[in-house]
Amino acid sequence: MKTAIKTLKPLVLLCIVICCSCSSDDTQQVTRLNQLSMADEFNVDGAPNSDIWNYDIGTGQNGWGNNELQYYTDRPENAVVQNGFLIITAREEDFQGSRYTSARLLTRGKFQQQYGRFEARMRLPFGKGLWPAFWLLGDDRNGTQIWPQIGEIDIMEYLGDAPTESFGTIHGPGYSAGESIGKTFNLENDRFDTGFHIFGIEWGPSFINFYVDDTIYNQITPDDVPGEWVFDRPFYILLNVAVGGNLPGSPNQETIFPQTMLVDYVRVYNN
Amino acid sequence: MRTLSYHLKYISAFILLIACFSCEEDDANLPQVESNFTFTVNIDTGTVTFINTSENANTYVWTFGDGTTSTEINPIKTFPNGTFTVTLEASNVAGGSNTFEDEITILIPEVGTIPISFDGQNTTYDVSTFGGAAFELVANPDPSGTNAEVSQVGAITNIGAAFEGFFINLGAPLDLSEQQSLTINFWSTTPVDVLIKLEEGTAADTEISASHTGSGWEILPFTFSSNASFDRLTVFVDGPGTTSGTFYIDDIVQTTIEVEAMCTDDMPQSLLNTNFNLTFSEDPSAIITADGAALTVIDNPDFENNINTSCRVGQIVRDASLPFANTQFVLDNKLNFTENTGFSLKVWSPNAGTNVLLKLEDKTQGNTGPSVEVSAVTTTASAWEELTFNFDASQTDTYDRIILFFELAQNVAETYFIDDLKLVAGMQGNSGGGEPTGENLLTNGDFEAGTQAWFGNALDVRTEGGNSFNFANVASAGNAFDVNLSQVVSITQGQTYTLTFDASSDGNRTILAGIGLNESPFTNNSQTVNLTSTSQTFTLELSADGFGIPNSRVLFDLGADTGVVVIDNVSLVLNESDTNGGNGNTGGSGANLVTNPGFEMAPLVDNGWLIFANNGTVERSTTQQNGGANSARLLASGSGGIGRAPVLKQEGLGINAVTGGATVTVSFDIRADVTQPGAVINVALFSEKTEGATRHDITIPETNNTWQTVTTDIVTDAALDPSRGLSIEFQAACGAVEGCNIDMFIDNVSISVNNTP
Repeated sequence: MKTAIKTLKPLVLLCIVICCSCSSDDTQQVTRLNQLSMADEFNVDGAPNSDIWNYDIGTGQNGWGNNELQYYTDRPENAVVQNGFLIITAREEDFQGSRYTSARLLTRGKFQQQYGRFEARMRLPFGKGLWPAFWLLGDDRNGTQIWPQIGEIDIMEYLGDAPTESFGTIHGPGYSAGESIGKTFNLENDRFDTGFHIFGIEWGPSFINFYVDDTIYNQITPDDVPGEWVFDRPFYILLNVAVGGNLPGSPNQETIFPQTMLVDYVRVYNN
Repeated sequence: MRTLSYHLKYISAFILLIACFSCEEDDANLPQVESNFTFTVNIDTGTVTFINTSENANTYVWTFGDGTTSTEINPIKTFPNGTFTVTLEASNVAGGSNTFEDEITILIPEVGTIPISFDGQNTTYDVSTFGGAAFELVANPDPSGTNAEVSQVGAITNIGAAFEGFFINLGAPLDLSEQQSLTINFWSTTPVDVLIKLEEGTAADTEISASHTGSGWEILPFTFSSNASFDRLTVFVDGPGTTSGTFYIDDIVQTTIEVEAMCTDDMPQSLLNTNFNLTFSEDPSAIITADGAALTVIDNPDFENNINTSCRVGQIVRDASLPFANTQFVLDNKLNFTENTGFSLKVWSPNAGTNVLLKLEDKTQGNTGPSVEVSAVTTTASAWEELTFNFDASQTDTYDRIILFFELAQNVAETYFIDDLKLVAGMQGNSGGGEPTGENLLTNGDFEAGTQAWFGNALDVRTEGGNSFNFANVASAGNAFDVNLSQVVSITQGQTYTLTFDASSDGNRTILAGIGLNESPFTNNSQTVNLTSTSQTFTLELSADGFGIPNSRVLFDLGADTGVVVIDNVSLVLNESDTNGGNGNTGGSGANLVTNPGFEMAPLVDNGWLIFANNGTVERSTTQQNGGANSARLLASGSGGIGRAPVLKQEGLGINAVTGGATVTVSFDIRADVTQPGAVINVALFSEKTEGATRHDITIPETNNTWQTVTTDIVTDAALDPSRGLSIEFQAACGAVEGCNIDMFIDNVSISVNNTP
């Protein structure tokens, strides 16, 4: 072990991590907040815990604003907990006029928190047109505010035809959609669809840090945004797998269905 | 993203330093293999999609707990019902391995089938609605009456549209081969008819309705006249009507319902000399004198037969000590045997060979006056049969007492039953050429007995000035069948019927009238008639081509047009197969084999006939007709430059019904306007053989452009192939001669088998 310490010397200011990685879900190393305020380990088989999760059903307006192709349902075919995982399955089937089905779970009204650490351990789907996300939306203050004023923090977005890249992004007034602020993370010598990875943020009054596994790859502060900083209210969590839409484009001949996103856990810390 | 150093300062503040030294030695070179999987289940099929979440492994062996294995990474497997322990052994290239196992329980829901209680724990009910109705499973809202159980029931909510309802696709077919009945528990607070239709079966759809009294839960019985198997059960609550509201259904059970045979009501009795008919619908004792053979009116002890189903009959108990024991019926006035040929009498005797004698006397002179006797002998024991007693016209206006003897001059003690001693109307009356002479097949065609025998939502019998008729007033037009008046009558396939009725309206409007099936698919032959404010008598010739069963009907469909429809004096008569108008020829004894014989159904080529124009024209025509509205027209006209020989033909007549050597009666009406030279009319019957055919030419008389009936008997070729039958062909042929012209009409084609060798 001596040699190992030696090679890490130049990085000691930044971080010293020596881990033999005996299991894959060991404690996060890149964060400091460690008092759990909410966790779903998905250890009870069946429907997701309704004390935590709601569903968005249907196609929204214009495919949830993005011309997405799927119809979201609350059927076990699209969202179920089994053997310690939340399984969100995108299927190709004719359903209520849509060609695909999938699921979108959210904690709106059931769990919302301002600031803290939000992370999930996930294995992502593969193929052109698949667009999974682990993200947060801000409280709308009893319907008095609308997006992008309420704020959006995309902890993880990913396109199924680029399985080594994920991106973390924020949207707010003056910096939404195409003008949103974010960064892509490239996974070296691995893929997001073949193994589990941890996606998280650590969020305080004047910063949001984005990390994947043990690497913080971006920090965004009020100085980084061209408009109002709106990340000072409670936010709720969303987990979904979209199919098609403006960002990923439609599935193609090579896209295999069904595709699943596995979520090992979602944990939120507040201290 | 400004400068990296800026961010690094922040980040370094958060980072935890964690060192982990817990690993075991043999993990120094290779990470530890961890086996794990999850899965999704398609509960309807038992198909499990395994999702392998093992870490640091390269190869996998799955054992599924049913003796099968797989080495795929993410296998997909379909299991039957049961619990299976699935094991995944994951290995890496160095030989390290790890095993994970999980138990999977498969319970594929059953698709509900009869019996349906709506309570199956693992049952799905494949219900669809139509026409506006809604269906859902709810807790029994009113546990009482025939359904006191607190359980799930089906709730049907009608919006009030006609023909709304729901159907259940059954998980297994409903097989009626052994049990033909269903019962259901049904809840309604208003009286309503419930119709169950069975579809998607091995034979034609079948349906039957039952009436609910509106008393809450009631058991309704449905007995189907089918032995087939069906995959779909459809329920209409007030099908044709527009009752809205919520009803409940439960406990759909197959059963055997003993259909209790019912006697039929007696026809009205007449004790008059003009139309004497002793039906025992009323007590006739006022005109009866018992002379050693007492008559009492009793319930028919044997009504499950085809001869006498009526409820009331007369019982005669013969006294053995009186050889001349008899029963006498005394009339007001003398009997007429010019209008009547005699009497018929239904008799039930315990013995075949019982002598039955009808003697007529003058009541004032008794046995010292004139008398006439006719006797008959029973041919069966302990069953009803009908005997006839003919009296000559010379016996008219002589007798007013009828005396009935059983076993005259014998000392026999026996009990007999009699019924329907009635005058038989004679054939001596003028029946008019070509008019149907058969009896009216309908009951209460003049509506004088009210609504008896009629049904349909247009049924509304009204009486004005001593005459009863049916009255309907259609407010808004829709489907013709939306407003209907019908009566069930047995129709025989291939026969032709004459439907006659009087009808009028409050203005000009149309209705449809015809005959057809009284069950799905409701095949019918109907014609549109134009009503005016003046009552008209309509006479329609209707062929039962391609349909005909006992459950058929006469129908009037009034819904396609608005306004009043008054209908009265409806009669339906089976046409004699002899269409020659009574000019002496004998018609064939069998049914007419010809489809669309009067050319009333269009187009001809879809209704039995083949057409070969051959430079001429063959068409259905209203220009001429000899009964009905249409005929077939063959036209060989125009330039003489080419030959013209239009042909009208029908093939496949009497398949498997006509044999070689049979005598066949061919009859048809023909008129032709012929301009020579070079014109010839050919009509021929063909005995179709296995190869080729034998032609039987039929001679056509000079018609002088007036209707002639041609009737001839032909003996078919001995080599006739019964699987090919007969063909008939009409040809109007003009050679390639200038001036030749034939304008020919054919109507009422009849071919019937007279006798079979």
